[in-house]
Amino acid sequence: MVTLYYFIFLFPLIAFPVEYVIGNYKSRYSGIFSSLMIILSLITVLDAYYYLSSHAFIYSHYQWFYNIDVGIYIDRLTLVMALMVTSVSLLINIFAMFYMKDDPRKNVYFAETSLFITGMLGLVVASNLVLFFLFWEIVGLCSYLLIGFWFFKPNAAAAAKKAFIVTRIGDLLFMIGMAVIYTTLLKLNPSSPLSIPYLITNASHISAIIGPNVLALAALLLFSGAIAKSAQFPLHVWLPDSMEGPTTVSALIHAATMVTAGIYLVARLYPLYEFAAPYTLYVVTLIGAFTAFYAGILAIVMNDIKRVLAYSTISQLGYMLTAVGLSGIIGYSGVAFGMYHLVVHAVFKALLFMSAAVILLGLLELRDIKQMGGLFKRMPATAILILIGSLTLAAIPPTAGYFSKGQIINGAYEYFINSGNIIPWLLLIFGEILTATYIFRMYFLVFLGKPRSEIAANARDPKLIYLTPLMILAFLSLTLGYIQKPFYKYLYSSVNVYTPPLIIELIPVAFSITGIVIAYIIYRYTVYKNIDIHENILYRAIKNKFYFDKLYTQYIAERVILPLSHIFGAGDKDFDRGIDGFGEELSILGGKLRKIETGYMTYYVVFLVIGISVIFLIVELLGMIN
Amino acid sequence: MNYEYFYSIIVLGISGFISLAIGIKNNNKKILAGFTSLALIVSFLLVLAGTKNYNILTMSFNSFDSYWALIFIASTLLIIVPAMNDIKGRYDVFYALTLFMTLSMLIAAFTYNLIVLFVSFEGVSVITYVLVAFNRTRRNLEGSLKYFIISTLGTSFNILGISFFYLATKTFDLFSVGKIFYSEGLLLALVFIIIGFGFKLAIFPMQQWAIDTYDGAPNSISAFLSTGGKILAYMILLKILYLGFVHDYNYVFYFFSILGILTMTYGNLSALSQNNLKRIFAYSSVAQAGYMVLVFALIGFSYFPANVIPKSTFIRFGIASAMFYAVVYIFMQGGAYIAMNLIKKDKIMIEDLDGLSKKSRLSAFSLWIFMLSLTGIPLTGGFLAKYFLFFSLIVGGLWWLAVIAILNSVISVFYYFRIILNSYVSESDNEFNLAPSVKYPLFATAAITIALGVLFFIYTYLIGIAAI
Repeated sequence: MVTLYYFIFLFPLIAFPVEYVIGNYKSRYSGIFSSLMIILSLITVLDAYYYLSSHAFIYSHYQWFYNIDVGIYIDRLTLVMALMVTSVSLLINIFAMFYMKDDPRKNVYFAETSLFITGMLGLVVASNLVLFFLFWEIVGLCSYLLIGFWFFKPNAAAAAKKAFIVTRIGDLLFMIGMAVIYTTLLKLNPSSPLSIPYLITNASHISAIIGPNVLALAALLLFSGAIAKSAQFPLHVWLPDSMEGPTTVSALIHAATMVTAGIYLVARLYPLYEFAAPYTLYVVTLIGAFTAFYAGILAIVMNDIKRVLAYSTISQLGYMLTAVGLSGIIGYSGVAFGMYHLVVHAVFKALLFMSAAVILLGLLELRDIKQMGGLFKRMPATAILILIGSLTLAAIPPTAGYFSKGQIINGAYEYFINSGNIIPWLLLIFGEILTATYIFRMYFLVFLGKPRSEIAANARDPKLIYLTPLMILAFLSLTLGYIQKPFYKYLYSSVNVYTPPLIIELIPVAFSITGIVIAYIIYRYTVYKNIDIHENILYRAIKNKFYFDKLYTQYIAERVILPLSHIFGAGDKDFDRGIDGFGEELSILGGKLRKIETGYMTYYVVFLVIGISVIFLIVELLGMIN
Repeated sequence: MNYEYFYSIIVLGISGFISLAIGIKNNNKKILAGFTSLALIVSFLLVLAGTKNYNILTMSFNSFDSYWALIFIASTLLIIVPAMNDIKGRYDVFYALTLFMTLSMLIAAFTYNLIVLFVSFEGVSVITYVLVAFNRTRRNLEGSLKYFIISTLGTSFNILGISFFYLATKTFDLFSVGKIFYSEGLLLALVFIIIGFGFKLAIFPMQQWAIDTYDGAPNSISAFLSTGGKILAYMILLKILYLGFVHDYNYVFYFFSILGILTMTYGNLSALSQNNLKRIFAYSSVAQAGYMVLVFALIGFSYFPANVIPKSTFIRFGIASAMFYAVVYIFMQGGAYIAMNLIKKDKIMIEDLDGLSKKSRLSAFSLWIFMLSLTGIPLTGGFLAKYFLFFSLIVGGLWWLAVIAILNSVISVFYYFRIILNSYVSESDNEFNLAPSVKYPLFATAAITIALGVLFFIYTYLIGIAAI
């Protein structure tokens, strides 16, 4: 029964309307049903895991429009992803039942998150790029709805709009990429040119027929969609703003459901990238490594606790993308490294965000870390949980982050040995210093010293029972490192685990510790207080995110797009008037036609006889011509 | 002789008499409606379970015929519960009549003999004359009278057409005409038969009775006339045109392409300036028939000897899209008429919908779904139905017909969206009839309309069984 596995994404889909309706009557119970459905989905995924132990893949599809089939394709890569999405979003959902318990619209929240998870699971198992894109759009739509969940806050509404519009740019390029693939492959495989299993199994054949450069064009266009969705440079601007939504939504977006979709897309279609022209994967590597470094710089100066975490997500996604890109030289190992870091990242980022949610609950949504301080004594449980998360993020040895990120950096070193290109490795290890610095700067400012505001002085830990999902995640962050090698082997049998010279291997750890020390110095000597935004030009540039947001909104949007749209809008007005006039004319014509309908029978019969005769005359004449 | 194939038909007949017997003791509409629904569902299941590919006497029991039989049963089932609201008087007679009517339709679905087709078609017509006038109000009687007189005209065309057919071919059986060659007599028969059944289908010059009758009849009967009654005539024409005239009658093509364009343009334009809601839907049903007959134009087009595209493939596409359009049409058009039960007036104007979404959000949503589906907006059944129809036209080489039909759909947006606008935006304190027997059939129909918009793979199945 292969069709059973459709329920991987159908279960959460069922929860969507049910939660929406239930909440109107039994608001107290909302959240339970959606959690239940995610559990069922998780069980289905586990069943697929057992099925895959004796089969290579699961593939089932139905014909949709003409030559577009819809269905599911599940192999080990899919399975790893689906397992991560279901389990992490389950924990977040359970925690959200506590976090959102006083919100009057919480049933809507759970309905929308169910749809969000449906979209993510759907795109993970989709067997066709069109279906993939549909779910991709559902994810985009839900991110809009959820980021703007507190739409009465103007910031939230604006952030939702920004996320929607920026990811839309990527979607457009993605669609163009699909069109390129469709038109070039229509002759090659007329029955279903956009089927994912077809694309990934015949990549070398496709490349030989249509040429590596055309394939590179298509692959890079698809990659643009991934850039927008995974918030990579230069389309990263939406992710930090998305912090205006509920914090559990941020956890979902950052850990489980949205930003990883872009990485998954590249990993899923990796054979296309492999057989495309070599510069394709080099572009992927460069964008990833640069983003990892660049977002790290920005995170150092942020004072909003959630924004620090947001930039850290962008940076970590950069690491994953770099790893996938490295595969151009080191083979499938790169994809495996990237996927492993994706899973580990999902775990510790969910942990960090939910801990942040606990802090924000205690501090009544005060998000400025300069006003916190001294929370270690007041919220010890949260402090320990967040410390575990931070250590994992900074890749300090026994945690899972050390294994996952260390292996990516080793892979980058191997890449350097084989290709002579040192840029990725350098960017990544300097990224390590930045990572440790920004996360521990945040940690020290929040937890050490004395409270710097009234609210912070009165914060308390919630009941420990509510922190259970966080404890599970913390436990996983500490222990997940031990499945590193089995994980790689499960994904691809050809993965090599690299062990560079000891001195090289120790550099990342040393850099991380250096970062922590720098963070402590910044904190101890209150350097952060002395830099004035108006004086230091570098600080000002970083604080303004290198003016990218300004470039997009003030220059591109306001000076280019708006005038253009005014120009077109002028034409539109005439068009509107034309349409209105057309409609009015039609109505008048219709009014005249209606007069035929007099209600008198004799009139009807006369009309009928004349009508039939005239039509037959015409038909007869036409028939004679033929 | 094997009687098991007739069980689905026999069940309906027996149930009709049982329903009359129940009526002797008490005239409880709930019991009767429940019993009738049960009988229809049993018959539905029997058709589903019936053995396929079996020919007996003049009847044939393959998947194609069963599909139409299922559609007819569904079209009756749709009005059983809503009828509790707008039918008054002898419920036992009413429900017995609907059962007999369904029986007639099933016979029509399973037969390929022109005489049997004619008799069963008239069986349905005679019963609907009674049903339209069932409440005996002045509007009912007027609608019924007009319907009766014009239909009689159509019947005379039918009889003449069938007689000419017999004279030309010496048989009534549609299966055996394939061997007969072109003759003037057969052409005459074709003309008369198309006109005769075209009356019930309400295509262009024969449409005028429909507007008055759909307006005058009780809401659920309007729902039936514009769905089940129409689809019956549609199916009969499909069988006759596909089987009965397999020679180069390119007249069929000209006839139906002209009629189709005229019908849909007339329906859409006239609906624009109309304010009476039931008349709007009547015009919309005329327009929908205009889309549907384009399939006949496609079949006619295949008769052209110069046509190089292999005939069998695109005719299959065409027939499959006709089958899909029929099932979607029944639910969206029937749903629109059923929704009229929400309004507690006899003459229903468009302003009477004002403020519906305030009173019952789901009812307004259901109405919204029907309108979207009739317009052909994605994620509803209407979109897929139109998509497959236009797709088959384009595959068959008739892209210009598809373009005209799409332009017509654009015109139809004007009046369908007016209805949505009235029910959603306008403020008013209208009272609505929100009894469960009004609301729940509406929700169910809307749900089916949405479901049909997702069940795209039915089309692949239909292409498989469209061979006749």
